[in-house]
Amino acid sequence: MEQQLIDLGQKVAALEAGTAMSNTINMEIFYWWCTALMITIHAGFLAYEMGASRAKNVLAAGTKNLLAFAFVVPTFFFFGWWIYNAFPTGLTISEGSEVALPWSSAMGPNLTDNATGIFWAAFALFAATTASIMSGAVIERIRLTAFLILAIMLGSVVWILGAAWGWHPAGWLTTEFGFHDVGAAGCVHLIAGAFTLGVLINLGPRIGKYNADGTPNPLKAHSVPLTVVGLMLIIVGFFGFLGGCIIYNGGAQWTNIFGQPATLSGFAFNTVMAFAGGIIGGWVKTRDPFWMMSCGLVGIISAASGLDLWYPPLAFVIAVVAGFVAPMVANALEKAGIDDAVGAVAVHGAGGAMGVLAVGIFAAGYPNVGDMPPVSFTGQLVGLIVMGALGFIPGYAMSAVMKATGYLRVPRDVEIMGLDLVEVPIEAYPEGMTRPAAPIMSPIPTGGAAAVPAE
Amino acid sequence: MNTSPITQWEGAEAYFTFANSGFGTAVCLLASVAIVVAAIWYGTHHESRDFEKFHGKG
Repeated sequence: MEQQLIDLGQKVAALEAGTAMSNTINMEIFYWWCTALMITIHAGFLAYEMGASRAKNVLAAGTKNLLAFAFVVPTFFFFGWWIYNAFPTGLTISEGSEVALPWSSAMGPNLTDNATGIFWAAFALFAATTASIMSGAVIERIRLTAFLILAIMLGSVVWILGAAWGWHPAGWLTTEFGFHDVGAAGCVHLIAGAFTLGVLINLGPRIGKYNADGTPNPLKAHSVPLTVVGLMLIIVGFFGFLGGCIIYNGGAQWTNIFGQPATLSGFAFNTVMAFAGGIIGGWVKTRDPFWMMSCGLVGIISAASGLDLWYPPLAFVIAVVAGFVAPMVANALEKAGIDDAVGAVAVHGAGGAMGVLAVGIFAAGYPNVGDMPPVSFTGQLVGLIVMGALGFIPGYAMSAVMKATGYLRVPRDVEIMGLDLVEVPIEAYPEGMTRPAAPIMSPIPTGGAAAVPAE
Repeated sequence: MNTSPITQWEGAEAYFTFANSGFGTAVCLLASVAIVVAAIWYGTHHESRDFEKFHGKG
């Protein structure tokens, strides 16, 4: 009998150890695929940005986008991850953050640490996404290497400092003000939009964008279909992005990044409803497929802060309103002389701001964990101001220095001729791009195969 | 080059190359940082040269 009890105890212990390891590995698998899906965001930004360029700048835009990813990832290893772990309480270095330094034993394959690598990778993709938000806005006139330095600053320093403050279980915006932003509308979208606005002010508009009297001209995208497909790819990637915003606790309920209980099911309700709402808001306002897709993205961003809390029809309504408002913001910026080629400031900056504020308006009073304050309008407003300033000031200051030294923008004649011709060794469309001089009228087939349009 | 920090898998923790060598990790890390900085410098130089060549043609 005694031996049987010993055997049973050993079996239970083995079972517990096996379950614990399964939970750990399931956690790794979950974030692995979230990270993989986030790569789709970059595929989307690539298509979107190249499509939004005029034909003479297509490959330069694509090169810039690819290099933003390539330079943000290693710099995020060098110092970005450490910033997140070091500064949740403000600007003093937190104890224990040395494990995130690039020479730490946790920053590489380690059989006793299944978490650091997978979380680092997910955060590195968040970082690259943040930098890519700026990328599309500044196309066709920014100097490539100036952009890369700005992208490193945004992706590996600024946003992650904002994340440490407001997207971290010990971030001071949460511990002091109850700031609630589960889907990173503030630290990713608002910061990226504000940083981009600062850069755009110094960068100036593309040649030909404005007439002498200040009225804007449309500089049309060379491929609207490519931009629309790119936006849809971004939406697909957002499911990885938002999946990466919830914490997998093996054997226990999910929590959001602040430690409050949450469900991925709740995220699913609100993400899909907000996407649909944003499209409708954009359609009602513009009837333009480019803006409809952009507003689908705005819809998700505007619901992101409270993605774990919303009654789905409320997320839908918030997204409809945000999707309706975002094109108006873009229009106002254009009239103010800000040439944002893809509407990034309106989509991400204004969308992020609306998302953060929406929680303060519609979800005040939700409890926090421990002795942290509950969600409040004041807390959300403080978060909005901090994130906005944290994005705008470094973007404006760095680009002002670059402008003053003549480093920010390509020469005027290069911009007129097109960046591809000057900087890129291959052609985007070597056989040329042709369009019919008049609409092609296909004869109505009278049976058999469909008629082939005339050349 | 034997860069393994372990001689057996039992009890192994950090097992990446040079995990037990501060010098090795420092060299790799500094090389990575230098590559990033040098690539941006090279890119700047390359851009400036392209702009000058273009002006020359004009």
